[in-house]
Amino acid sequence: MDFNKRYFRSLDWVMILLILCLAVFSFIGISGATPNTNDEWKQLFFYGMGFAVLFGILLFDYNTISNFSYPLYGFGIVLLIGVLFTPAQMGAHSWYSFNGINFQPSELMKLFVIMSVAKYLSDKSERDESIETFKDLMPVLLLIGIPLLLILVQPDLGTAMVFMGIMISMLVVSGLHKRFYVMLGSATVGLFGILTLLYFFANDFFFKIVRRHQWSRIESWWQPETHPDGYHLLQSLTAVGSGKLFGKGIGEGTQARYGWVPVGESDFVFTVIAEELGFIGSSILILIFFFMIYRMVRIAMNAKDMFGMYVVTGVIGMFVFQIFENIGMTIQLMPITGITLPFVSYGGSSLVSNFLIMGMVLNIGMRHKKLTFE
Amino acid sequence: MQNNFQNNYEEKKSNIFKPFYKRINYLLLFIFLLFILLIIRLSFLQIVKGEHYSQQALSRSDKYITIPAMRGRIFSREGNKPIVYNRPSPTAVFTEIEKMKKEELIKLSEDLEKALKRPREEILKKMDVGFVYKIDKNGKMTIREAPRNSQRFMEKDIKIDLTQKEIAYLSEHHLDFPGISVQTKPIRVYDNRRIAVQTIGYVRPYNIMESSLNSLNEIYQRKNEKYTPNQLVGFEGVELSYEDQLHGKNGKRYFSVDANGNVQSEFNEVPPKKGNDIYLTIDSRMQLEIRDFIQDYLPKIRKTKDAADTKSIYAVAMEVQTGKIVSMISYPEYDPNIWIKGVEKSLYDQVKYYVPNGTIQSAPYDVSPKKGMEALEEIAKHPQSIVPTGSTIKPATLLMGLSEKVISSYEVWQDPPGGYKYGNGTDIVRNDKNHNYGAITPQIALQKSSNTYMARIGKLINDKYNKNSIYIMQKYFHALGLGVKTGIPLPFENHGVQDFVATNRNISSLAAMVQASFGQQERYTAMQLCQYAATVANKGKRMQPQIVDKIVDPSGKLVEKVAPKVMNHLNIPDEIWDTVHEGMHMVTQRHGTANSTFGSFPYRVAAKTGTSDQDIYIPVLNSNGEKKYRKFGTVANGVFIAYAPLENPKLAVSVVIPQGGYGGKSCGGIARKIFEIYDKYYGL
Repeated sequence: MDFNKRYFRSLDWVMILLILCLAVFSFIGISGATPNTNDEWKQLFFYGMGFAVLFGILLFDYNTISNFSYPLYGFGIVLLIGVLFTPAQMGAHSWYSFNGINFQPSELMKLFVIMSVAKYLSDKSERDESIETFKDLMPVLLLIGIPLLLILVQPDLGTAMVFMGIMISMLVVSGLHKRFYVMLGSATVGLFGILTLLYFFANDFFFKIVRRHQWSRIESWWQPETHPDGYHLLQSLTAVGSGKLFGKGIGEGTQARYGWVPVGESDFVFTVIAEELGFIGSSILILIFFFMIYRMVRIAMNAKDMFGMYVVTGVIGMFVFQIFENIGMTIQLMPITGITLPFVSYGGSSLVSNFLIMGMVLNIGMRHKKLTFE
Repeated sequence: MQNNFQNNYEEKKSNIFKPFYKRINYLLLFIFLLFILLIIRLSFLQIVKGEHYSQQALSRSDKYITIPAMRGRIFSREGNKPIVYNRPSPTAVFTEIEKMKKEELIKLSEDLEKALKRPREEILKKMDVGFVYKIDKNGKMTIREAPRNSQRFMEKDIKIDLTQKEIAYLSEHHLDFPGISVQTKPIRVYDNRRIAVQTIGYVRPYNIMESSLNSLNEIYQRKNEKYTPNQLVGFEGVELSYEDQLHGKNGKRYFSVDANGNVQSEFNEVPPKKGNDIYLTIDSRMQLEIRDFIQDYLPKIRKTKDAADTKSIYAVAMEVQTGKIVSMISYPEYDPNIWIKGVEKSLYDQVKYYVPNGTIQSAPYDVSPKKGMEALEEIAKHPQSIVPTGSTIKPATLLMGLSEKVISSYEVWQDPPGGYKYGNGTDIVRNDKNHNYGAITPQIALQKSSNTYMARIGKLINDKYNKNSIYIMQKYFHALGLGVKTGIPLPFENHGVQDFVATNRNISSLAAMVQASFGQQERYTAMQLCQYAATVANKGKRMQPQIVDKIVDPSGKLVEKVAPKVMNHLNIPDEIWDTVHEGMHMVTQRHGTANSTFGSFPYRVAAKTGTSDQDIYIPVLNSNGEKKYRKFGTVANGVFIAYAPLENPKLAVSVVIPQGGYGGKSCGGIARKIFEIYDKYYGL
C-alpha cells in the first residue's frame, strides 16, 4: 500500500462530483418509477457502499493489481460457468442468490476482461511489437470471446454485446492494421448480407439461426405501432415525448408512476427521467455522461504506462456502449435489450461493480506520469 | 550520463505513446457524434413531437389486461356429466384507483377485514398494492414494502364465494369501499365424491406456483402463455400434465385510459379461447366402487396378522391390450376443493399424507396427529407407498432363467432340505416358513412361491455372466416396466428403486442376483407392477399406461383420440410365456398361494402373490453426534399382481398394501373385487 498526499491531490475530484450528480438523477428516476417503495433510498445506500469500494481500490497501486489480471480472469470464468448451474431466475441463469441478494458475475467479468486484454496488449506494446498477424489478434478474440459465449448461454444478449463494445474500443486504440478493418468490416457486411438473403429466400432456415423472439424485437423496433411486442417501446416513447422541454416535474411523471413504463427503475430509468425532467433535464444527464467520458479520455492520455491506458480505453468502450444502447433503446434509436444505465439504474450488484471499475480508472489517473515541470 | 539516458528514455516513451493519443482522439470524436445523435433524437421526440405525445399520454393509452380463458372440464370415461368443472362464484374484486394513498389502502384492508371476515394481512396481500402486513415475533403488526405481483390496473380477487349477506353489505356501503366491486368469476369444482383425486390433481393460482417447487416452475417457464397472477393453473396430476389442453388461450382487452390511469372506455378485445375438455380412461363408477370396497375392507385387513398398522392401499387396473387405466386408487383420499380457497397450514397438515399419488409416487405413512420432528421420526418407522416387490418379481425371474436357458420348462429340481446354499459357508435361502416343496417344476416354483428356486436362477445367471449379471437382469426387468418409468402421462412419476445395483457394487454380483431373484432389494410403484403384469400377459408387449381417452374442443369436436402406444417389445419364444402363464394360473388354483381368494372365481385368473418383509432402519445419533442407521424392526407388506382371463387377457391389476401382512390374503381380495367390478361394466 503506497499512499501519499500527492495522490490525494491528483485524484480526479471532478469525476467524483460527476458521479454524485448521477446519484441525484438515479434517485429521481427510481422514486418516480416506484412511488410506493423505498428503492431510491436503498440505491443511495448502495451508492455509499460503492464509494467505499472505490476508495478502497485507490489504496492499492494499480500496477500491483495488474499482476493479478489473468488469475482474476480465470476466477471470473469459473464464476460464469458456475452460474449456469444455478436455478433460472426470470428465464436466465445469470444470478447467484444469497439470502435474497442477487449477484451477477458478468458485471465483475467486464473488469477482468478489460484488465486481461489490457495486460496482453500492453505487454506487446512494451516489447515494441504491434498486432501484425491474425495470430497476434487471436488471444484478444479468445479473451473476449470465451466469456461472451458463456454469457450468451445464460442467455443475456445485452451484457454479451457490451463485451463487443469493449473489444472494438480497445482494438481501435491499439492501432490495428488497415487490413484488419477491411477484414472485420467485410465479415460484418457479409454476415448481414447472408442473413438478408436468407430472410428473403430461405425464411425457414433464417429462423433456425435467429430466434423468433430476437427477430420480434427487431420488427417491433421498426414498427412499434403495428407489432404486438411494440407495447414497451410505444409506452416509452409516449413517456419521453410527453415530457416536452421542461418535463412534468419531479414525482409527476404520470406514465411512470402508474406503472406503464416497464421496469422504470432499472432498464427504462431514462424514460422516467426524460418524462419528469424534460429535454433540458435529460440533455444535462447525457452531457454529464459525455463529460465523464471526456475525463476518462484525459486519464487515458496521461496514464504512465500502456496497461493503464488500455484499461481506461476498455472502460470507455464499455460505458459508451451501455449508455448509448440503454438511452437509445428508450427513444427508438436501438432495439430493446436488457442493459442497465450505469450509475443510474436501480441495482446494488451492477452499481457496486461500476464503482469498482471507476475506482480502477481513478487509480490510474491518480498515479499518472510525472509532468515535465516536476 | 545517467540523467541523459533517463531523458532519452522518457522521450522515446512519449514517442511511442503519440500514435495512441491520435487514435484515442478519433475515438473521442466518434463518441461525441454518438452523444450528439442521442440529443438530436431526444430534441425531436420531446420538442418537435412533444405536443403529439402529450396528447397521447393525456387521452388514449392503449393499455390492455389479460382476460383469463375458461378452463376445460374433465369427464370420466363413461361420463356425460363432468367430474371437474367450473362454477360461477360471486367474488370481491379490487381495482386500484389512482391517487389512492397508503393510509387509504390500509384503512380499506381493515374495513374489509370486518366486512368479509378474513384477516387483514391476507386481504392486503391479495390487494397487491406494494406493501403488506408483517407480524413480528411479539405478534406486533407493521407495514412492510413488498414487490407487486401484477400490474397496477389489473383486477385482484380478494375473496371468492361471497355470501348473500356480504354482497348486500358491500353494495350498500360501496362508498366506504373504494375500488371494491362484486363480480362473478369461475371457480374450479371437483366432484365431491372424490373421484381419483390424486390422479386428476389440482389447480392453484399462478403466482403461488412462482414461489413454489422448482420442478413446477421449470414446467411453466417452458410454456408460451401469459397467465394472470390469480389464474388457476395445474399443479399436479392431469390438471398439470394436460395444462396446455385444459387452459385454452388467454385473451386481451384493450383500454383507453386517461393520464390519471382511469379507464375511459374499452375499445378492442381479443376474446379468450376456452380450454378443451378431457375424457379420462378412468371409469368413475368402477373407481368409486373399488374405492368404497377398499374403505370397508381396510378395517378388516387391520384385524389380520401383522397388519394392525396398515393405513393405505394402492391399486391400479389397466386394460392389457390398450394400456388404458380404468381405475387407479391411492387410498386414503382428500377433497381437492380445499386448494381453491387457499390452503392454510393447519389444513395442509391434515391432508398432506394423501396429496401424493401413491400409485406412481412415494407417499408417506400417515402419522397425524403427530407434528414436526415427532412426525418425521414416526414416518421413518414405516414403509412408504413404494415397497419391496417381494415374490411378485418371480415371474420376471423365471422369464429370465428360461430365456437365458439356465433352466428349462420341463426340468424337475429337487428342493434341497434345509434351504438352498448359494455361496460359500452360511449363505442360505429358505422358503416361507422353511417349507420344503420337494420336486418342483418352474410352474410349481411360481405356484408355491419358492424362494430357493429363484435363488438358484439368480446363482445360475451369475455363474454364466458374473459381473454382468445384474445388467442382464435389468434388461429383462426394464423391458417389463420395472425400474423404468411406465410412461404414464402424469407428472413426477417415480421410476422405482433397484437397491441390488448397490449390492452388486459393494458386496458381490452373486448376492445381488440371489436377493433380487425373489424380490428383495428392489422397490416398484403400483403402476409399474400393473404394467409389468400386463406386459407378461401381453407376451412382452409393454403398453404405455393411458390416462386420457380423448380430448374434445368446447364445440364438441374431437381434437384427439389417444391411440395405444407400445413402449417396447420383449422378444421371448411363446413356449416360455406359456410356462410362466401356466405357473401364474396355478397360483389361483388348488395348492396355489391365492387359491383361497380366487378358487371360486368364474374366470381363469393368472396371479402372483407377494409378501415383502421390509427391514426398517431409523436414523439415530451416536455418542459422537453422527447420524447412523439402526434397525428398528421388520414389517410385512402385501403385494399382488394378476391378470384375467388367462387365455385372452383383458385386465391387469396390481395391489400394494404397505404393512398389510400376507399379500395373498390382504391384496388378493381387493384384486378379485376389481375383476368382478370390471366384469360387471365391461365383461371379462
